[in-house]
Amino acid sequence: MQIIIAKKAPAIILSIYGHFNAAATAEFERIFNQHLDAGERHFVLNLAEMTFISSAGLCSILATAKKIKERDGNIVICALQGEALKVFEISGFAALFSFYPTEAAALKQV
Amino acid sequence: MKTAPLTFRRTSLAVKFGLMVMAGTSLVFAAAFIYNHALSRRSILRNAEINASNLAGATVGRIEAVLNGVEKIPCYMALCLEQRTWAREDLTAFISNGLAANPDIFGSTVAFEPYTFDPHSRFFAPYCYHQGTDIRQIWLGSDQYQYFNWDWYILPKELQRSVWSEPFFDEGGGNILMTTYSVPFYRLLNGQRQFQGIVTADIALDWLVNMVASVSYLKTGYAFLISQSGVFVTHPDKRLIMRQSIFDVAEGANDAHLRQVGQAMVHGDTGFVRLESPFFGKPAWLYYAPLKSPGWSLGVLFPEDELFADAQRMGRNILLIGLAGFVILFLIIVLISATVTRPIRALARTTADIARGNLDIKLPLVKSHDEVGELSFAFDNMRVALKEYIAGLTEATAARERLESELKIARTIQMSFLPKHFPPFPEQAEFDLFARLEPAKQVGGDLYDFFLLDDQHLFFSIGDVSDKGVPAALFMAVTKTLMKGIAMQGGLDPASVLEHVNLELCKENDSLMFVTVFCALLNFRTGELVYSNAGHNPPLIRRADGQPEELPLPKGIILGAIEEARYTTASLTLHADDMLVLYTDGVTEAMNPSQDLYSLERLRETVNGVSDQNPKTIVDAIFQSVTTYAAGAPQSDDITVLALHYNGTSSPIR
Amino acid sequence: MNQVSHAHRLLLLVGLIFLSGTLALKAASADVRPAVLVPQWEPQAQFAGYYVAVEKGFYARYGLVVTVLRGGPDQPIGRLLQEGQADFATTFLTSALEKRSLDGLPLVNIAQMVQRSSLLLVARKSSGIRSPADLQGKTVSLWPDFAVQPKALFRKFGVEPRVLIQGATINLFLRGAVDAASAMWYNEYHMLINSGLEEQDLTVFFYDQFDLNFPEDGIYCLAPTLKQDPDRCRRFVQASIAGWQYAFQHPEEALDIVMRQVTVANRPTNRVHQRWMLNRMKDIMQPPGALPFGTLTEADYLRVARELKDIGQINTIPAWNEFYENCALDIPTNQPGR
Repeated sequence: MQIIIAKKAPAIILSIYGHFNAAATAEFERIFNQHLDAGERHFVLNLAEMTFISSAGLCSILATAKKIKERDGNIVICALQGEALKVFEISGFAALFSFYPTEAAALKQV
Repeated sequence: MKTAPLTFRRTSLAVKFGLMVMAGTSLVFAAAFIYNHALSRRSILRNAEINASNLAGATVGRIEAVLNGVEKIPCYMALCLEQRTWAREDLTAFISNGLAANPDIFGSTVAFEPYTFDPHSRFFAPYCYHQGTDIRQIWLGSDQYQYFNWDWYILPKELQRSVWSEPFFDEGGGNILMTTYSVPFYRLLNGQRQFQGIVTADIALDWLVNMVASVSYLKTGYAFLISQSGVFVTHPDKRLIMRQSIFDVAEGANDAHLRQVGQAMVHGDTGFVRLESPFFGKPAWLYYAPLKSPGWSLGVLFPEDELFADAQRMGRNILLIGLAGFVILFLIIVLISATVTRPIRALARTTADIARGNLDIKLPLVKSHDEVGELSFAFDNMRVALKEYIAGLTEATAARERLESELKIARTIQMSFLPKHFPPFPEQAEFDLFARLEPAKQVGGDLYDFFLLDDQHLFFSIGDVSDKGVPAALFMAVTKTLMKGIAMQGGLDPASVLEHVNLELCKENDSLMFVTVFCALLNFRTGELVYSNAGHNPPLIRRADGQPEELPLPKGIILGAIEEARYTTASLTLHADDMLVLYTDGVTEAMNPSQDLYSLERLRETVNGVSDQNPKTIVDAIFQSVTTYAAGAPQSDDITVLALHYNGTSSPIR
Repeated sequence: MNQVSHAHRLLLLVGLIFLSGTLALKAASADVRPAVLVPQWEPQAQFAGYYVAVEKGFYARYGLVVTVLRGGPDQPIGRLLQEGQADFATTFLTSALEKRSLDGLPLVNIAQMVQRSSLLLVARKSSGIRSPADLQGKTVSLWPDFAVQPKALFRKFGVEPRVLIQGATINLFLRGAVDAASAMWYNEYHMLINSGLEEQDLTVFFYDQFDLNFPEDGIYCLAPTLKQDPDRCRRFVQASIAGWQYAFQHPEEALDIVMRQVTVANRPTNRVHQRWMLNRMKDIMQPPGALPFGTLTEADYLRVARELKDIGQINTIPAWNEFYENCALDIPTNQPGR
């Protein structure tokens, strides 16, 4: 997995590339914590290029989201599609996040 | 044998350094010594040659001065004889007067050819000679002494030039060594230059013997004279004189070189040569120079050891001084080296302590800014780094040990909560069930469970905690206990069970742990299966006559995420020989060494490939397939499979 | 002036020193007979066998007390034999024939000791002389006493060189006054070599190569001496041969003995030269295929005698059996035990 980080005020955009499985969770959480500690509160998770997400990946996103919420921030997901979207739906995660078709749309709502 | 190099290796740096410097210095000294020795030898030889040449030249000059003086008398007489005819009395007076005027000359004659002076007389040769202060005269020539045939007469006659005779002992005149200078004289008769006779001058050679004998060179060097035929005329060894030629000596000593030298000498050459034994019994040098007029050769001979005695003494002294110098040099080098290497030795001792593990020891302070100082500084850095590293390592080791013990605890917790007796309900013929959990090294928190609620309901579940280690194991234990407790109350459908469990889990869930759970309730009398899901992978169902399919699942969020989560129950009916396969993502996300996932597709194929209806067979087949696929790649997550085979209501076993 | 000794008038009773002890003892014995030998020249290795026979007691074993006189130009053997001062003498065959013819001396050869002629003619190769024919027009020095062979050689090759009389030294040749000179192989030839000349630079004519071999040293006595006591002659000859054989077998010991003689006679020579001479004596006394010691063949005898007669050196040729009686052959009567 690869994570591309970009800052587009007022949010930090994290784009996930490739498989998001158990092995990738540590890196994902580290990056989030880093920005959270740096004072960032608004995040957009661009999952357009995510090819696969495991339950560990889902839980990682969920745990991160919970942390952000505790600090009065928010996180939205954009460009989720295909199999990954199905996984979100099956696992019930779809109910917990706000989804936007594009990055631009997501940024407006952050 | 092995002690010698060992000893050298153990020899201190100072001594080694000293020895090396000594070796180098010795080489330089030896080269200089040899060069100097050779050079001084050469210059000594050159000086000796010059000295010997001067000596020989002076001696030759003195001898020749005398001989040349003597030569003039008979030459003058011959000239006079050629000018006019002489009366008998005039001639004897002429000879006698010439003799009186030249005390160097012992005797003299004018010897005529037969019947030349007097047509009636065959012999005519008045001979005058000194006898004390008198001058006596006799007549030479008789049948016994036909002077015409003697060397002094016939040689100048035949050679038509003046000749010095070979030296000879005059046995009649007191046995003294003599030589004769003979000059031929001629008359012009009818326009023809005709040989008339010979004028001679005899000289004693005692002065010459004394002169040559007085020549000395070095301690035992001496001069000698040889005649034109190589015979010794003078020599300190009297036995040689007039008895032996230099060639006899060469033959006696079987010395071809000496013979060559003799030939050069009688040839009238000048030279400086080294001779082996025959003269001195030891190597010697010979300078030789000719006496031109008589064709003799003077040799100056001196032993080599005397020639080089000074050089040898000097060489010995230089060697001794050099040796003493070496000893002093060696001591100084060792001293200096010892000073230089003292910090190194101190360092070495300290290092030995460090090597034994004492990293707190203080390194000796080296103030110098040279290599030794740098070494000392670097060493101290190393010591500190080593100390930190060891501390870090100790810590890491402790942490790892702690972790490992935690993992062990986690695994123990996890495994102890799982039902492990198969077949679990041998009295229930309607279904067969088998489950297996293979924890990863970092325990993943998988769980499965099954129990009978009453005589027709089986509750079974599978789950996966979203964390690892002990917390995950505890969370799994909590989940399992909660789920069993709630389910056992009876009357609840799976969705209600999940909602209750979720509520409990969400309370105080600070650790942000979640768990996916699939649970089902099977009425094994009827085959009716009701189930609910909280974010778990859809189990596979293989109908008796079909391919494995994913079980259609109602939506349901992972447990522990939000309190207000709602779950839905779905249902279907199992028929005889239907197979349910529950699994965790440890199966589909198992990776091979190139990090490709095992995948759902492969799982389906595996399940499809097993025709056996025994759940254990299918579980083992899945594990086998995953292990083969992983091909040694480490298992990163727990792998759990639960298979249930429905035998139908009217089982023949019953 | 006197380049060789005229001064030796003393007879040197050589061997007396050695024999004085035994003489006193043996003199009393009836069968010990005295004998005096005079060699034809001064002491040198040419006579080594006789000196050795004296010193090693070979004469004594043969019942003789032998005195060897010092020979030389002042000691003509003819006169000494005639005057009875010597019983035996050594001399060349030619000399013996000449003395017999000219002086009427009844010399008898009782043993021919030297079989091969030692006389030779030597020339420098640089003078262009390679064969006797090259001597034509050259200057050659010859000893008047030993001119028979060279002159015969000249006749043989039809050459007429200019002949000078050769004196007592080899200086004429050494200084280049003559192109060729006579030399005795055992004596002057070696002197040339040891005046610095190299053998390979010299041409040497040995007379035996030209069928002019004249046997040289023989032991002679007067006919009456032989007639009166042939036994003594045999003893003398055979003891002398024993002396020679010993000398050849023990050359260094023989040289010691010779050098003592030489030193007593104050001869201007040395051991190296005497060694050469002794070795050459062996060569000419025992050449390859030599006849036994003492043998003179009639053919050799006649060749020498006829040559002498042809050139007028002798008038008549003495009868073979009058001139020669080989005393080496018959065993002496009253042979003493060895």
